[in-house]
Amino acid sequence: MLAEDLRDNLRAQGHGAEIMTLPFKWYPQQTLVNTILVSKLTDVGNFNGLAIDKVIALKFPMWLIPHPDMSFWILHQHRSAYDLWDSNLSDLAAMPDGKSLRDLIRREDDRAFARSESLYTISRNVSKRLKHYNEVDSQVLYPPPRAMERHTVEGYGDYFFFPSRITPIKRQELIVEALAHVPEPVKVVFAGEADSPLYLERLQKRIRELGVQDKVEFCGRVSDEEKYRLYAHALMVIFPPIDEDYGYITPEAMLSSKGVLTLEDAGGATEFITHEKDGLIVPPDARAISLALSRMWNDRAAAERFGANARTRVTELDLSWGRITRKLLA
Amino acid sequence: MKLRWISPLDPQATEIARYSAGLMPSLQALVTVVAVEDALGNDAPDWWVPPSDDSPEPGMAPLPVYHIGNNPCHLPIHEQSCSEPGLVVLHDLSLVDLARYMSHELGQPELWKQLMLRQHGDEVRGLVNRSETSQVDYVDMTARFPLFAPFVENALGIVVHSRYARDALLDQLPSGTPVLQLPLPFDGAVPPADRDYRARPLRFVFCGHVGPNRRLLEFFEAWGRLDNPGAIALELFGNIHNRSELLQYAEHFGVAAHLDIRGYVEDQQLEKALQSAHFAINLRWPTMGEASASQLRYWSAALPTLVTDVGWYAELPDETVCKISSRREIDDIADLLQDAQTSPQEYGPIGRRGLEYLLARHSARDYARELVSFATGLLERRLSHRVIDQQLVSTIAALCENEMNTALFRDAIEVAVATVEPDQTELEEDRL
Repeated sequence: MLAEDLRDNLRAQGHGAEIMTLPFKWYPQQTLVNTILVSKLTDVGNFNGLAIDKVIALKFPMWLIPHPDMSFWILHQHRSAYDLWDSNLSDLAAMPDGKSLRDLIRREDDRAFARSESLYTISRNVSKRLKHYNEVDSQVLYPPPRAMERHTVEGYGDYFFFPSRITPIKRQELIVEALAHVPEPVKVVFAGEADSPLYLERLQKRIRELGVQDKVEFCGRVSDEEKYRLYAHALMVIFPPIDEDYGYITPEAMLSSKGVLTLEDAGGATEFITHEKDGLIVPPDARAISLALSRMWNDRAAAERFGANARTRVTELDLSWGRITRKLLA
Repeated sequence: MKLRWISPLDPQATEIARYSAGLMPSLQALVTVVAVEDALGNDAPDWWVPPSDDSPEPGMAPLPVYHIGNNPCHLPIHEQSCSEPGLVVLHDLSLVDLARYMSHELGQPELWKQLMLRQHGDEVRGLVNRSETSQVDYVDMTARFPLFAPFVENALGIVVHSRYARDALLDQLPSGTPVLQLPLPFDGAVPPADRDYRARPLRFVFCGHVGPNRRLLEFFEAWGRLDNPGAIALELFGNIHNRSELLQYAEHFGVAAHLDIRGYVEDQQLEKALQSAHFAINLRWPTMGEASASQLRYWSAALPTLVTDVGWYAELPDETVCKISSRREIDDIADLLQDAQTSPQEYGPIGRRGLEYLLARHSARDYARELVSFATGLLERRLSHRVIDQQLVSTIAALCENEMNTALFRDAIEVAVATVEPDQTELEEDRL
């Protein structure tokens, strides 16, 4: 989505722009190495005699493509080789030569970043990781959510809205655990597809075990219209991922004048939210989350106040494509 | 780092299992050995202590260490090494008997010949064909053209126990193949007995498999030349399958009355026999090229030992063994047997110097430390081995009409090497 928006905005400014992509399959280890080699061997110097002036690289391993004039706008790195390595979420760590592959990825990234002075990321969180692991400085360019004008507020209804892919890294399970501790008849509406049916089954089993069926509603994948509607009527938005790079959810919620309940280790979301001003930032703990849910359920005025502040804050951020493309093409 | 140790398991049955059992405590003091297996599915041996922590190491599967010698029991180990690259410890340089067994098992009787031709070229064709009907040619082929390349094709690195083997590998394997020479480890030397070399008869011992390359018949012939063969006695230990044939030869040379074929005995009995002997016989021609675990055992008992002056034995200091020339073998043996009777005081010190050499050079602890250091480097190279040696080479070979014409793939090769072997240039510079 970000690539399409970037392309469209570049074209709108009169540039010729195309998205170039490769299928990225990161397992088994041999396939990951092959993909890296394919990227490094791809020639994008010119096509049909037409020189390609600039390559804007967004993701690994495509940014390994050789080109004399590259800008990086880094969505995220291959996190299994970086911050996830020491967690139990790194698939690389389970590969027979994962450590060598991790080192290879880090080495190639270092080489690629050294080729350009135009290094941007989509969030402070991504920049922080870049500095920590690759020792390079970068500037942040927050990507604007799509169709920002369509986000509206229609009140503060009787549900918390949790839009995200259903997957362990987004931590739906933690919210379900928290619901078991909430005495009020709160409701959380989950919107998004499950990455794995097995994980969804496991989550639903846990919901039954905890007896919180009445407090949850799963919508699956929703249309854009439905999404805007769910944002517009929500009491508050929940966004508790593990160290998210950026997360459109936060600015979208803020554009809909909704406060955001997030967690201290949620990454990008915490860059936008100030605790007790436009949302709540609580420890990643089911009891702490349950207290926050109870409080907001019982204090609608606070939810409204957070929402209004959030809208002001996101407006001040000036999320616009003009600034982004100027920087990337400089 | 974690290792998987794939080796014969019964120390009573093979020297390689004995080597593994002796080395294991030193090895386990340094690294986690997650499994000890023989590729046949037999139970883990009691000389290995399973680690208390068997959790996997992130992104680093255990490195298999394969032990390969010239014996059919190593075929499953070799087969496993083909499917998963690892460190190969080559216990014999010439693996032609293993290759012949493999040919038989696969139902491809000509396979071993093809392997010989692939490694040594067309010049060995005549010798290989003749070797099937001529023992002389077989001996000549084994000695001059050791077959090892097919058994280390998928190795990340190779450990050998002699300079002779190391030089042969470096000469014939692709440049850059990691090869490490280590002195065969020994653990368990006991204070040797005080021997009386004036005693008669002088007691000789021989241990192990009685094959033609162990030169027993030549020893019998030399022994038979003595005016008084009864001044010598010989005990044979091991799984001796050709007892009657041996006795016939011994009778032929007039030494049968002084020969005692003991066969297989328990370790303690063998130890006792070594302690009460005056000499050991450890002749080899042709040599399979590698260090002899039996020799370490003889040294541990401070026994002066008759060895053939070839291969690993030729590398040993002259003062630690009694070297016998392969060209004038019988004369040399006869001279030594005569000399042993007239100047017996010369031989005790040879055995003691052998023991000193053993203690100084063949420490299991040092061996384990160097093996682990080598293995650590290989683990770092495993990914590049899989990418370059296994995949890229076969992909390009499949695309090339002529596998030597790889110019079109120059970019792909250079990029792949620079990506997965980034330190290669630095290593080359270091070497220079």
